[in-house]
Amino acid sequence: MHPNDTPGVETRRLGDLLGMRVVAPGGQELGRVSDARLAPGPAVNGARAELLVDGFLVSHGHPGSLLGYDRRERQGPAIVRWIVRAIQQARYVSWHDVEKVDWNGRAIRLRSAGTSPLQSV
Amino acid sequence: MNGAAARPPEYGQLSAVVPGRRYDAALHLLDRQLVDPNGELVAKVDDLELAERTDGRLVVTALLTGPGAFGPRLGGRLGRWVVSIWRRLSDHDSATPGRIPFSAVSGIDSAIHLTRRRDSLGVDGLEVWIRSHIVRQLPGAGHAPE
Repeated sequence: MHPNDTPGVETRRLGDLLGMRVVAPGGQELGRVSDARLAPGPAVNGARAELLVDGFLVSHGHPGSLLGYDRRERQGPAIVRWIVRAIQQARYVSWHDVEKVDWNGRAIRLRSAGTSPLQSV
Repeated sequence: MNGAAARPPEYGQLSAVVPGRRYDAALHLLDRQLVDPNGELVAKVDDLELAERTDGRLVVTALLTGPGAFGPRLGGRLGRWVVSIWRRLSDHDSATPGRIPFSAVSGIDSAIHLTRRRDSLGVDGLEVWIRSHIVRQLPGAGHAPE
């Protein structure tokens, strides 16, 4: 945990999440967190809506793999799009499928073994 | 190395706050340039602070800058070395990252726009240190470019 400016509030960092193992209920490792998808929450924080962690991008590659070329449906030029599709391996896990974030064990434990195809933001 | 960017858009014309817009944290937020309302460059985002709500959801509470954020993100021996060297060279506890509350963010596009001026943030980024301790010591640093 990382102490922050608010007394009594322990915080985490995105860097703690990146690279975490994603583990299905049976112990099967599905990959590692390559990114966290953030979505607006109901509360307003300053000038804009709060951002909540809404899910995780899971891949077998190094965090930051493909440099984001896999996140856009209309990725061009065509040769880049072809290469990305050939090595596409990132999947998506919704927050609602997360049973527990095991910070000490550096693992995200899922309720089920399924992942979803990665949708662009 | 740093300076005022082009004239910032008028308040209310920032294009970044899109209802329902989602972001991939590492892709869209990490390493992004922070810009104050005057267009002044502040620092780069080196990590995000997350707080755990009572329902278990993780919410972004702050943007973190400096070697105190970047070193741990590197991880391992290299990360510890970065923090250690920085602590020796700087004049403050560099293990503590610069922290900008997320409430100070007004928009996110190719940069992250803030509602607070740079000199009110108390964030001492790597580029600021390099400018003051290295660049300004170079011969001719005080002359305007021709």
